[in-house]
Amino acid sequence: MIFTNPLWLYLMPLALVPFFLALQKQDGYPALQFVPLDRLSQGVTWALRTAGAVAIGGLVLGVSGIALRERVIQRFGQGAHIVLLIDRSSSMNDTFAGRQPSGEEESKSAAAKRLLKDFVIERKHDRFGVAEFSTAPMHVVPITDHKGIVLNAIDAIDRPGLAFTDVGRGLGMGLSMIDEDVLPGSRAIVLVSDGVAVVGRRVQESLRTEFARRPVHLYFLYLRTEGSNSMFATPPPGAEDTPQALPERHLNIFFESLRIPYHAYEAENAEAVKAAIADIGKLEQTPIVYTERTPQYDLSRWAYALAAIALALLLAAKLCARTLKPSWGNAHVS
Amino acid sequence: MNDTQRDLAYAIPWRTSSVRMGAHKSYLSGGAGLFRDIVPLTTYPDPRRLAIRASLNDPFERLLVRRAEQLSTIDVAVLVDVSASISFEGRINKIAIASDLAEALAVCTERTGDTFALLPFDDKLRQDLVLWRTLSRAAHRGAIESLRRTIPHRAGSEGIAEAGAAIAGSRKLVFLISDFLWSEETARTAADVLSFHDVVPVELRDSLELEDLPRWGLLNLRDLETGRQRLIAMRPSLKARWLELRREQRDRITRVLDATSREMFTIRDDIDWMRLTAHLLYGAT
Repeated sequence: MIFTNPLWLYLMPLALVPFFLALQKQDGYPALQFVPLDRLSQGVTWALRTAGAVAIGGLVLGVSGIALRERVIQRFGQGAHIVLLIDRSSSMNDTFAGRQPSGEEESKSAAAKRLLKDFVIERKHDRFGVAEFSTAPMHVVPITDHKGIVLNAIDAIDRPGLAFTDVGRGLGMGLSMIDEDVLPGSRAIVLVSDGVAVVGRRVQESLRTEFARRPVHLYFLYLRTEGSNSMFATPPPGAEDTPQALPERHLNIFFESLRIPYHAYEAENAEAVKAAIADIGKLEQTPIVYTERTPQYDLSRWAYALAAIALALLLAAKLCARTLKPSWGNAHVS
Repeated sequence: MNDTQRDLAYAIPWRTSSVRMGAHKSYLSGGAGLFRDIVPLTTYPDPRRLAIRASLNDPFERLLVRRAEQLSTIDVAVLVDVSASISFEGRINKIAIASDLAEALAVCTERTGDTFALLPFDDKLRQDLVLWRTLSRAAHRGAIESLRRTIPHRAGSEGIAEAGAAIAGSRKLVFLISDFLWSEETARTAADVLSFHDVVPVELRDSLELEDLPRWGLLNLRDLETGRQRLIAMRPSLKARWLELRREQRDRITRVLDATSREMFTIRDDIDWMRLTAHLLYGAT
């Protein structure tokens, strides 16, 4: 409970005035001891005094700006802390068919944007962070529960991208973002990409140690362009099977060799992306602690409403009040 | 003061023993007036009233004289309750009504040569307003004017005992003007101290204080004597109970006063002078 103008609270003792002073206009009466006592009158008396006190108190509280303090409540729920690691290379702006989007066609990034946004909105208790990578990784949003920022960050992923796809450093950034997150809960990195470059041997080694240091789930959502290599397909014998020739396949192999919970999804259209995201959502259902913020709530309107009700009661009593004065002048003229 | 007010008259159903010539029956005999009896000249040595025929007829040959009723004065005392409850102002100002009544009675005494005393009281006899019995018209006016200007403020009517003691002595015609919102004890005291006198209780009532109370609504009343404040939610059933309670209280007081005084005369809202005169001359009708 906080007050924006607490000085007004010095007027609060005025609320006791109705209990000590008769505020209504009174008529003298010769002898009240011959007036019958009755419960209803006593009840009305106390009700009106209370109404007076409530009216004054409500107005004082209203003027002093009573409000409920902003609160942060910790709750338990199902979910995870998820870093969305999104490819910003220029090929993401093409359709799944590998063309510039035209007409009603949707680019890969637009589809990813739409589906990821649905995912973020749907997952109420998850905390999300967003990182992007192309030539160099970009730290966009740290892991946070402010859904608005995350959604805005995802909105930006269909901007025209850059040339290269440095997935290794992107993963490094995702891991460092997870390091910065201190709240308990299961962590996951969702890597969204449409084709990767080779991860260097030394980068692979450092990633291997990094992944070994902390429990992280890894999801690789590969947006495969039509005609490009599948990452699960084993090349026909005789074909070149090197990371340079089939980088996705070898990245997949590398991820599988990390001995962490890992899932790879290959999506060739928006429906497949959707199914993959739904699957990730199903898998990331561990208990987590999340915080819920209740903003400061202004109670002064309720205080004014209470005062208004009390004043209405008093007004009604005022209108019901009768006087013993004759309606015409004094009958006795001496 | 109008003519009806001037026409107020009173009579007493008893004989006074005052020696001054006045207008009321007395124990004294005199020369003029109503025939009373025939007594020997030796008993009433006034040869002017010689009853010749009776003297001639007297077997003992005494000289007899006629004796007539001597009319004498009486003392009139007006006791006015000026406790705070009298200051209730509804349709009437009770102090003004009491002053009017006192003034009419003063005029009445001046006409017949009776003495007039005015003794306002609240919880004590109000020495500042009191007028001891006198024939002085100027003193009557002065006392009545100061009574008219009084603003009652003290609670209680116990001063009736002191006022009663102040007028003890020969039998007097006493007007006791009050609202009689008394405790039974005060009424009993009044009855006791005034029991020797011819008491005419005059009750001052305002229809707004009882009969004309609103049937519905909120009344915020302050007791004029104690200052206590009460909010009363009026409704017909409560009003009926109120009237009933008040009637019972009035019955108790009148029962006590009736034992020693004349029947109570009630002034409600305005003085009906003719009815008051009739009440004073012939008793309650």
